[in-house]
Amino acid sequence: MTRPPTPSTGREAPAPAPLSGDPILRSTSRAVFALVLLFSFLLLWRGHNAPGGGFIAGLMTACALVLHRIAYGFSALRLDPVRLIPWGLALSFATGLVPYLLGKPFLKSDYGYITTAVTGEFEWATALLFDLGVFLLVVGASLTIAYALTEVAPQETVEGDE
Amino acid sequence: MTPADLAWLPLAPILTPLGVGLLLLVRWRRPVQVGLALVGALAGLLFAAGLVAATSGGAVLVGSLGGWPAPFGIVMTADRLAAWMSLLAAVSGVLAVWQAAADPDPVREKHHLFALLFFLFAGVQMSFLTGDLFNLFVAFEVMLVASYALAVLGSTREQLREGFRYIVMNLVASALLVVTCGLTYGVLGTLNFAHLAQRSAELGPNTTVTAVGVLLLIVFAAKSALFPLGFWLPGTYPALPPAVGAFFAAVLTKVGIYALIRVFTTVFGQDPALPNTLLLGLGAVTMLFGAFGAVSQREWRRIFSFTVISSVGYLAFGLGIGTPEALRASVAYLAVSVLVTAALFAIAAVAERASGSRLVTVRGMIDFLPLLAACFLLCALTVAGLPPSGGFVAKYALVQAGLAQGSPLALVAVFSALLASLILLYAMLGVWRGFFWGKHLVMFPVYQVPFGLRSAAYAATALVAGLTLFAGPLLGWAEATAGELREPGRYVRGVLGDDPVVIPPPPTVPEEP
Repeated sequence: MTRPPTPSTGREAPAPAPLSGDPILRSTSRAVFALVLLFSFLLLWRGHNAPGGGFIAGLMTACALVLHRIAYGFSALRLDPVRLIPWGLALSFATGLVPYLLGKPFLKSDYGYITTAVTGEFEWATALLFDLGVFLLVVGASLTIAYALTEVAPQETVEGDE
Repeated sequence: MTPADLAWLPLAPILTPLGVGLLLLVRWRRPVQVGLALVGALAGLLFAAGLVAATSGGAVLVGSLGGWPAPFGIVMTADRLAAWMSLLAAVSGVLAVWQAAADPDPVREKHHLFALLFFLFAGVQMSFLTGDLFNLFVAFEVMLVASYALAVLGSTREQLREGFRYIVMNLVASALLVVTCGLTYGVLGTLNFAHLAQRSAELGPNTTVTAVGVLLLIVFAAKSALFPLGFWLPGTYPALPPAVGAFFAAVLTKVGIYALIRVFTTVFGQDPALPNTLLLGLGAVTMLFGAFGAVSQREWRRIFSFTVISSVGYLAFGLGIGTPEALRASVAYLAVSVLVTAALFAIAAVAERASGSRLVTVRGMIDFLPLLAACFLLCALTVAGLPPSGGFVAKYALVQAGLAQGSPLALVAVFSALLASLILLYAMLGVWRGFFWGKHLVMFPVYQVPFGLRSAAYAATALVAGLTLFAGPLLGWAEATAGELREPGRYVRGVLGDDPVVIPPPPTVPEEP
């Protein structure tokens, strides 16, 4: 029997995905990738007081990246997604901790309104930073899971198969 | 200080381990990492002790997340029981970090053993301090995700086999908990403990609410390893590294017991007959199961894992009797059980290391480890419930409460409690004869044990001895706690305030033209 290929992180020359040569998928995925990513950023942006938020935006971004991975056979993300998890968690935690250390309730959000020439009046909130942390965490976690699943080669044997 | 000034305090024991855990993810050199972990664990202990001090007058501390008040937002609540559990968990946490620090394990530490331990502490503390059923589920998940990682960290064959069982069992229980949360919300329209208590009291005895209560009982029985649902425990805990195993054994099952106490005293107290009968029956079987299991085993930590099951049985028994005296005895026994389990696992770690074997069959170790033998003797007496140990005081109070209640099932349970104690004593004597007593054979080598590991066992035993010496104040504290649990109105007022909860009407949507 042959040795199973060593699992990689998705950066350095992985086994090509079954559909990666498909020209239709390649050309449509470019547009779809941009659209999905744009929509996920919109969800992240409005999430703190409208439907949306870091979690769902993170999942959509992960979907876009998985699509890219299927179409092109390599990850669009230049770093190991596991690394996003602690940073995301730390960002969310620190956002919550700042008001706590200032004597306000944990996770209390500050907000205000600024008016710029381009956007008119809009509301900013520190909850956006919390959402950004959640976003990073979800992208990291779901990509780690998805990449781990895509890298199982069908011919790979596990203990007990023989 | 008023409770409002201390609103930050119920969050402190949760945020400290969470923050320290995040810091520990950075790859520090080992001394820095160990120092950080010890400081973090001690800070957590300090905050938990502060909670106990702040609630000792009967105050209910409420800290809200994001400033949203109960019952709309998520609140962290600390009454006497929660603060007490938080303190016990923090003490076990310090002991676990101490042992992990004294026993270098480069492979597991490279994969964030310390950070995972601290995430586990955060989850445990949050389970004790949360004031909301759904957040209790979240806390369970934080705790369980960390414990899954810890259970398989190191990937030995045994760990993977036993860890799989542990994960499947707990996933099923968690799924059931979410479903029950949904049902509860559907029936009572809230998930805040205080608001639930208020609403279910208004509703009076109600079969749907009782059904929800029984579902919760099943979930928490699985988490606390009550009889038919505790099969995963004796295999999982011995497979863990010693420091982690000690914390798991001392605290994780008690989280389930705490949830049982909280739900069936504070929240669903209006129709106690069915849950109490179930708890009495399950408790009576569980303690015998644990005791017989302990006799049947020949490995250090397997024996002690079964004593954990047995102690859970005693706690369920105490809770099932349903009288104030029994509740008081259970709260006292809870403290005894946590500390003695931590001590026994610490002793087991030293003994396994000294004899180089997980079996208790090496004889005559009393010549090499006299102090450890003394420690073991005290802990064994505490587990079996013989005088002069704190275990005797607590078990005596339990049995007395059972006899005073006097229903046939309670009498059967009392009989099984006495029988289980006797069998546990036999099991402990078996360990004593097998390991400490007799003549040491030269063919078995004796290894040097690091001082840090030994001192952790001694310190834990000193705490058990402290319970014995201060059994009076302990029972006094337990009495006050039971008194508070008997009157959920205090807790409800502490969380929701004196005014009735007004749910604002939904915003009216303007009609489309």
